[in-house]
Amino acid sequence: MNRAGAILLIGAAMGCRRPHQAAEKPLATCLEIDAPTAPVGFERPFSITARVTCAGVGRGRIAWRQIAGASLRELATTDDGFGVTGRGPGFANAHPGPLPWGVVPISPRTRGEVTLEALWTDGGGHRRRREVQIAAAPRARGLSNTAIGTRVYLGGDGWRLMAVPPSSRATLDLPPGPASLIPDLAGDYRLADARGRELVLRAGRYDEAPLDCGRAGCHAAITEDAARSPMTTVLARGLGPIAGSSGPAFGPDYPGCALACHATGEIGPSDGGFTDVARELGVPADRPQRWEELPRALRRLGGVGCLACHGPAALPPPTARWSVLRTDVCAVCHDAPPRYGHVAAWQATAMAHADRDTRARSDRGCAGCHTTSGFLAATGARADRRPPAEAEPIGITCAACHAVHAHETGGPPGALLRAPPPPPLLARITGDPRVAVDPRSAVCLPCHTPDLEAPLPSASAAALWLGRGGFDPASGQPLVGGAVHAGARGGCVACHRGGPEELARGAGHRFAATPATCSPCHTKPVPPTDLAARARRLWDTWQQVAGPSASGSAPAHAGALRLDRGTPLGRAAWDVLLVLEDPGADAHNARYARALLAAAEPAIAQAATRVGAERK
Amino acid sequence: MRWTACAVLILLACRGPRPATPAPAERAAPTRPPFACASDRCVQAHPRLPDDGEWTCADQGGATICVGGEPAAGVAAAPGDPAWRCGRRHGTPSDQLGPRICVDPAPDLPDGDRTGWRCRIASDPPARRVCAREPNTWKLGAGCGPLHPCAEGSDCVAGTCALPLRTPDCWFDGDCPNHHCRFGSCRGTLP
Repeated sequence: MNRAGAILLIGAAMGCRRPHQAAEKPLATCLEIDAPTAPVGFERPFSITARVTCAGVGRGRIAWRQIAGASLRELATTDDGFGVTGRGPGFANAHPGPLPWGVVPISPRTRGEVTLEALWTDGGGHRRRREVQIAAAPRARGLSNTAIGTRVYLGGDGWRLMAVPPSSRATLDLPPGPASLIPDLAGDYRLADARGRELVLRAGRYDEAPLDCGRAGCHAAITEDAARSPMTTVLARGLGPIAGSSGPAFGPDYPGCALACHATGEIGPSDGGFTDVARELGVPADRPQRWEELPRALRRLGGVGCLACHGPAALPPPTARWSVLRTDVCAVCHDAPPRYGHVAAWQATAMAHADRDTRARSDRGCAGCHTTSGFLAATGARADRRPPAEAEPIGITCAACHAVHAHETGGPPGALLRAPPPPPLLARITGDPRVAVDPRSAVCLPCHTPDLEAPLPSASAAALWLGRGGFDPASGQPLVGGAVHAGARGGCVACHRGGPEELARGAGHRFAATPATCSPCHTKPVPPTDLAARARRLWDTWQQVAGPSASGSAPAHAGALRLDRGTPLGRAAWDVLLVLEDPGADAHNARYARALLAAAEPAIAQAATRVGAERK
Repeated sequence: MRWTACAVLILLACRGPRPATPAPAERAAPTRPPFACASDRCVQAHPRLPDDGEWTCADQGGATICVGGEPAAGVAAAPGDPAWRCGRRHGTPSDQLGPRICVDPAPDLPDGDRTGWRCRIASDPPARRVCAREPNTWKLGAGCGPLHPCAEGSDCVAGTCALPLRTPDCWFDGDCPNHHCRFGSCRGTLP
């Protein structure tokens, strides 16, 4: 158990959680708690000791209770509460559900984190409350390159350790629980599962990774952008003085517990990360100096730089590089509900499961909007490096919408949102300053606008929202409608920002549109419309006329049907499908949706009459 | 050792309010990393280098000379370490070592005895400065006079060998027009 600096780190961690106790500061150091900062392991024992350090107060006693996290077994106190023993939570409790094959991603939510509360009274009127966090496991991005000294859990069965670096004494810990391994030396650890499928872990220390990524011919442009990214500079900015003050810009307690996400590496293990190197250098990690006075080795680890997401050691083999696109990489910081709920909110969206269908992952036509790698390739953000066929689905992940390398994306500042060019159908209206479509919508439009070259319209929400996409069945001319919600501030997220209320930050990544978002303008509840039913009736009639589309329960655009937009009937079907492809058509633009159906109705009715007459 | 480290941490954490930001000229140098010594050999993990970028370094006569300067990717900007004097490498080197040369005429030593140690920087990971006791070879800081001249490239100043204030411009002899590089600077005459 690594306790060096534990007192300070825990003090800092607690400082993040109780700013309201600032008035008690004179006695704050009276109670010092020495708890493990390194992960204690799933179902492994841990111990905590406490002591009173102030003169003039009685020793008293400490009452402990667990206030957050999976229920701890064997929690016991001794010596009037100045000693605590317990056992970390079980793996299944912390990480429910099936495990992905290979390195198991572990976020603050799934690392078996528990919070204990200590209430100290000295019997003479002095009382103090402290919180202590214990975690069972280190966080993991799920990448195959990992830090030494940091336990890696493996999903899959029958793991065997085939080869380790020379002099390594690492061994595989086998069930109960998932297999796990602590790489102890830099180098490759070759493993194989029961079926012989191989996994190569590349281990190294964070502080030993060269940072020459920007050399000419490599990632020069990304490096230049990243130098000014808010992720790169977060620690430097936080430690910088506020104007007219000598205190850190992010407050007097900064960085404290924020270090876990504002610098590279885990708190606790000897991984060559920020806190590990700070310990080696004798610099108090939770209260470092100003940025420019930090030792070089710490500045290279401060902020959310390359290694914070890509991991230490050598780059993974090319076949494994796709895995950096997984949300798990971001989850090591953004999956810490209730404070940081971005990932938890996102997991409940359809986007998180957009690639669960095998064809959606493999068909190039589908992958552009159903996979992250396909979307990035389709929008020109990067080459298409799709996951191997045997990889689990990953959904439309953070990297699809957020350009994390950039300091300026062309989109709105702050969120590092991508701003791909608008789809051809919407190019004119999104560039029209009179309409003033919020640029935050830009990243949504490519996949929520039908492709006019496609045989069927798909995912038409943005087209309906902006009153575009339909055709007059008779003439073939575009049907252009009003766009009453086009100027909504925030664009799509003006309405699609609902999420679990218990999440302090990131709840909007659920992207739910709730009735509450309508109320500022619509003082009375908006009545439901019959648009969907009407469109469904028209579509059924069309299929009776033209033949069934045979898409089963899947949306029409996933079927084999090809519309002939050269005919009035084909154009009518296009208009109907535009409405059917948008489950929120009535909210996005009911007037335009009605116009589409009204335009389609005569053509379909006429064809139905004709076909009926022929069949008689 | 562990408790000593804890005590240092606590003392540092408990120090008073930080002073206001000094003017750039008064800026404090980054913290000097400690040496760990065993017998006559000391190792400084995370040695001071010219800046946060990538460097290859060598010690020569008690000075440390580094070549490189590739900026560190994904690291917020910070000024260079004021202990180093830096310049551009002469000509257009065709190697991959880098375009900048920096010299620290008084690098960190285990005990401050400038003439008692011979040091080198191991640039391969993990970067570290390794010093061994070697009191009997000439180094910068040695006494000098008419009977005890300084090594070429250094001057005798007030009885002590020191580097002249020159902007460094070479890593090895091949960088210089006259093929003569000493202490990171091209010398004016051929040997």
